[in-house]
Amino acid sequence: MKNMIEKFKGLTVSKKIQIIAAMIFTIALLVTIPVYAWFTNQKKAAEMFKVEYPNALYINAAHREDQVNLALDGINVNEYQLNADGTIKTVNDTPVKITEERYVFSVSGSNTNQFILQMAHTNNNLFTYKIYAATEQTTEPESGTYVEYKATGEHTENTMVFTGDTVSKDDVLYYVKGDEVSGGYLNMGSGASVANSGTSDTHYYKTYGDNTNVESHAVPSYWQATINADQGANKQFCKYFILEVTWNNTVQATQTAKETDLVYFSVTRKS
Amino acid sequence: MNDNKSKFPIGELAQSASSSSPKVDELAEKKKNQKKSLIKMGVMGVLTLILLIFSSLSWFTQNRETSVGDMQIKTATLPFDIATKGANVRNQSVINSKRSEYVEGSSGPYSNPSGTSGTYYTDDSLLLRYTPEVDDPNTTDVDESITPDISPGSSGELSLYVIPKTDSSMKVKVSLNVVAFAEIDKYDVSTVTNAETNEEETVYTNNGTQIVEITSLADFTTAANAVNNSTAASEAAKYIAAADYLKGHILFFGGLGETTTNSGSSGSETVWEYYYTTPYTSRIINQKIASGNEGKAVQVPIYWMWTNTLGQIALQTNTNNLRSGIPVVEESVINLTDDTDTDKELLLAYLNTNKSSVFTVTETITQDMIYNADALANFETLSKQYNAADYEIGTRIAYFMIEVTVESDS
Repeated sequence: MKNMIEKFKGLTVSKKIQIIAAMIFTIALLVTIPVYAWFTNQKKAAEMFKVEYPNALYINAAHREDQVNLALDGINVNEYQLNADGTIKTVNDTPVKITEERYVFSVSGSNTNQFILQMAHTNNNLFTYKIYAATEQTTEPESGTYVEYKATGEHTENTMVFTGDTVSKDDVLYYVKGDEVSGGYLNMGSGASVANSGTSDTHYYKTYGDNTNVESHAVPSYWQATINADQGANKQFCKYFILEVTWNNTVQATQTAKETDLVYFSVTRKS
Repeated sequence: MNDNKSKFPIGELAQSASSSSPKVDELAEKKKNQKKSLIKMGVMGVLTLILLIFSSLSWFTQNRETSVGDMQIKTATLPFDIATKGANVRNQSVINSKRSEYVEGSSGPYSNPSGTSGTYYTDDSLLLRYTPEVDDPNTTDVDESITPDISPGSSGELSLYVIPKTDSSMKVKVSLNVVAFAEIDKYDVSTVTNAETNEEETVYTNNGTQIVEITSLADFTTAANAVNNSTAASEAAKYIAAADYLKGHILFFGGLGETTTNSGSSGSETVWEYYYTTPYTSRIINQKIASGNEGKAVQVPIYWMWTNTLGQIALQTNTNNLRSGIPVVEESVINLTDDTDTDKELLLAYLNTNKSSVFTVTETITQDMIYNADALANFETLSKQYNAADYEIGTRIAYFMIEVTVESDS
């Protein structure tokens, strides 16, 4: 050791610098290598998950406008049909009452191949509800049944934008009635005027549990249909429907008190 | 250092015989010495700098994202192997296309500490496995054959085991990392001459999709431009934000919560009172492995959850009935002045520290709001922005990977 120190002392300054530098480099390398070793000294595992795209679904009034514009109020079973000149329409001198009303609504959304449209309604008024597919057009159709809709431009609930969608406020849109949507009631037999009651019915039980003292007209009827969304390449779609409410005047004539019915629409993504 | 002494040995006169005066001589000598020490200092400085570079280099590697190819180096020095168990690997082709180092590993029979034997897979870079839940055939739940995709409300357990190589007790450090991927449309670009105007037009044709890892703004923009998707490139910041929200919304836990039995007219059923205990809010787990487990598969329990609603995380009492769903951890009124941290306190602290990753923060969110989420106004603000973040995740993120790093912990 002493020898080495002596030798070191005997060296020229430049040699000393070289030796010191070499030593420092060696030490530095020694420090670095263990660090790299530490770095590899671990084991890893991983799992990959697929995230489901949010299934945005909206129910709106015609042209995806805010729901407030889908107003089902004001059905008056005692109103008469009018001729084009404003006079009351008569058949064999008997005035003809209005027996139907139509309302347009839309179902739109994204990333949905199929959805289930559900209508739930009470049966106080003994109305018949049917849902038809509808197509939108901006010119008045020459024939067929259609519903007129004056655009309000209210899109606060649904801001989806479609290509070529240039409708502005006060434009009149026409919705042509198409085929009836094939669906069915889950808890109401064909021809029945009220939903199935009784705790043995699963839908009844889910709503009311063990309670049996429920007015039968207030039990909601559930109607469902599975509908293809036919979405475009950008995974968006917008479908229009016409809700047709019809009533039978002779039956309605027996109803003296005004009644209220609740109609709910809901959609869920199926695939 | 003794240059002065050798130049002026004791007992000898200073070179008075020289032509120059002693004062000038001294000055010249002083200057020379100054020069010398300057050079020495310079050399020292350079060496220090080299050392600094080396040490900072090593510092740098310690903290670097662990994604380099060196992973294949055998780590014989670790006193344990890692293992996984289960029927399937989730999204295997996707993960292999993005991280080819992860393999199924070699399978073999191992038993757990309580003696139950099973097939486990081991490797240094392991694809974690899972077993699809067996659905109750008596219920009409969703399609039983399909493994559902992950959405808010999803949860699961990572199948991670440690197999010690010695019988002595040891500690392992497990780090959890969430990596997000987007699936963006790919376009082919071609130039077509318009027949009417006779002008050249650029035409973009959709050609499938590309899975892109969301790392940095620049990298994502580059990746999107590489597949000619200018929309995705221009929205790169939103993808980065969504990846951040995903990291904020996936929570990890170390234990299962409590159940309770509800009895009603249709019989009794067992329901969760709360789902989990021990939130790993730091994403780091220090797990002790007991002695006497050589060659046995010891589970490191890790549960993850993408909580559906904020109320499940943030509410302390639910007196206002704001919560929908089951609490994530036990609900309790927090006490920030005592020494112990309850699970609820840990979660709320996590929400507060990671505000910008949990909420969209379109409106100001304060610590006070998070610690008083039971108040309706606070709850509404927080909840709205939590859900908005979920929507961002869902629309931007296609896949996410939970990456687990296991090291020795001394």
